[in-house]
Amino acid sequence: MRRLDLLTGLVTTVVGALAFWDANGLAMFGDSHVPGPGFFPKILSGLLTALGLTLAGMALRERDEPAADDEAGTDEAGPTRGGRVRAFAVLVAFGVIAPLVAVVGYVPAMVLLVLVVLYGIERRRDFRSFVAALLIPVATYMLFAHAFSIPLPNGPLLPA
Amino acid sequence: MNALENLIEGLGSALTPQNLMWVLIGVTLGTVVGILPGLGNPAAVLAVLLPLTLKLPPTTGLIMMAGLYHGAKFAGSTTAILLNIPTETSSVVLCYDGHQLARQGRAGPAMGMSAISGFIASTLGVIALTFLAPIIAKFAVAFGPPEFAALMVFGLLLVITVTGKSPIKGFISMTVGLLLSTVGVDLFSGTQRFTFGNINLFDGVEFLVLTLGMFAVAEVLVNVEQVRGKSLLTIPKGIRNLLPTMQDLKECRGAIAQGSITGFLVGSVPGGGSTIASFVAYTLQKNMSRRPEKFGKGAMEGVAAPEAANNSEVGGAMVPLLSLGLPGSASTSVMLAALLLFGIQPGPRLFETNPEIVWPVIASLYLGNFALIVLNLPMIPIWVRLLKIPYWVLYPCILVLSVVGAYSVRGSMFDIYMLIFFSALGYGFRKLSIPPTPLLMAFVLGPQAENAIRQSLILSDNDLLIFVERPISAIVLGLAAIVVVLAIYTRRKPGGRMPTKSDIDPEPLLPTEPQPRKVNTQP
Repeated sequence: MRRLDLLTGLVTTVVGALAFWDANGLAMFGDSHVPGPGFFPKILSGLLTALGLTLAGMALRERDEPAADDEAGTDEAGPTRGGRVRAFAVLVAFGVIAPLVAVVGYVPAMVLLVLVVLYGIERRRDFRSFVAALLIPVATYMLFAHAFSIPLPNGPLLPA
Repeated sequence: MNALENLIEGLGSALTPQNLMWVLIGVTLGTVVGILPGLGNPAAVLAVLLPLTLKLPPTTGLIMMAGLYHGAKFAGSTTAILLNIPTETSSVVLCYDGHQLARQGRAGPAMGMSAISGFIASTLGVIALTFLAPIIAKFAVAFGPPEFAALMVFGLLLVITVTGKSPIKGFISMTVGLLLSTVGVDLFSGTQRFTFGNINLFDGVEFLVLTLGMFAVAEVLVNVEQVRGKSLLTIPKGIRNLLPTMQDLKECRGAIAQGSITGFLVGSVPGGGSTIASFVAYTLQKNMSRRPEKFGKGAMEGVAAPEAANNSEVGGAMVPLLSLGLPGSASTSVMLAALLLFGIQPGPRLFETNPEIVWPVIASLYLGNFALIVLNLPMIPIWVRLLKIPYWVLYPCILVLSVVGAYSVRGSMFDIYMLIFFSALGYGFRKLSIPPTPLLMAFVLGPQAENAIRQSLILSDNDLLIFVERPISAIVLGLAAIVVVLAIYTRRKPGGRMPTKSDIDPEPLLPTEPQPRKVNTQP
């Protein structure tokens, strides 16, 4: 937990510093010394940097102390390694396949996403999974594109 | 004719079989559509279904709109409680305790309390609107940028009281949310901020995309780590476990009263809105409670207070709308558009020139909530049955709906890329025990806070004393200081000991090894 807090603090500090650097070109005060477009971004990014440093400092200081919020005998179950791998796989699948909506169209991309999740990650290789992989994207397409007239990309495989 | 007689006459006009039918249809449609990500915001539901209402006579159309609105609000509560996914800003607070109650097998009582407290608060809101509208209107007019800035700062400072175990991580989350809210073109100067030259960011980050990523998809990832092959939550058994008990109602009567008053007052301020109303009500209730440590771990008052505020806010928001022509929230903005389309000009003389429209509209707000409780309370067992769906079926649906919800905002692939980014960010927050809710609250309140503060400083020539020289602003800031001090005191006193470690991390729903069950933690 301390290492994670240290990492969190350092990442937060870097993000805050980068935001401050990006906001550097914005005027803190505009004409007549009224708050300008950089007023809030600079204050907030400075605050974020300071918070990150504070968290990192707290993590370093607590490293040698017994963790005050640990309770002896507390039984806590966290996710298993397999669970974390599964969650990461879902995130990667989501991140890689969702953008394919623009390439192949909404329905084919979402069918692929559900198939990868159910067959590949959940390992449910049965007929129900196949039906779910087809039904969920098609049903949502019918609902949003036809019932609510929200245009969704059809891609090259479906008629426009 | 006095206000009460007008209201009774308005009820009489509204209570025709045709109007009753349309309000029931409105509630049903609002609930069904409001469940969907991309359309969960009541303003979005109203906007999408507004063409339907325009086909009806004005009074009937406005009555149907009231039904749509209440249905969409209830839908937002449903997804927040059952799935920890707030589809609209005012239901974010329900994720704290509502979802924790669902994890403890009390999804039905939580949803029932949401409906019942909303009904009671809406009733009180309509009564207050009927008799206090002219007085409140004068109060609303006195609200200028400094008062509004004070209210926004109040809302942001309240984040301290709900940051869970680690206030510093809560502050980090809040600051990130405020920074994200500055993305886009600055309204005052037209300067681009944090857009990196990308035209898709000129209008800023979309709320729905952020919510879907940080809450819907991130929640899926956290649950996928822990759930294998079973249903998401414990299904309550027996009808008695599907509704709140008399003990629940008794414990929450103070919360309902407080939420009703808070919601009405905040709603009557133009731009106040149900988000800050529900958040203020929740935080006030937590600080007033004899057992504040229960909040965030499944306190029924944590559902009753914000839902009461959420619903009585509607009555409050109608005050500036009907008396001044100023919409108090996004939803009343749509209602204003509808009134104008019907050829009705809201303003101080509306009560005199169109009483036959105004009083049925006010009555319809009440009717809409009554219809909601009649329709949706019996449907709670059905909604709760959703939890029986195996998670391996449910979560792909959530992923697909998130994609379509994000895309449907602007029809832009960029929003899908942002969805992926926020999904990763939300999952990262969970793993690092950073609460995501302060980020969302700050993101919503940030633009209003910045605009109000900058306007105030322009008015005062950069003199910060403007915030304390004006009485309403000074009172609001004073209240904020009191709440913060109380929160710090509560945190430090023995009875208010902060929850133990992994408060932010969700407890395992169905551990892979037999392990003792632990009360769940804050989002």
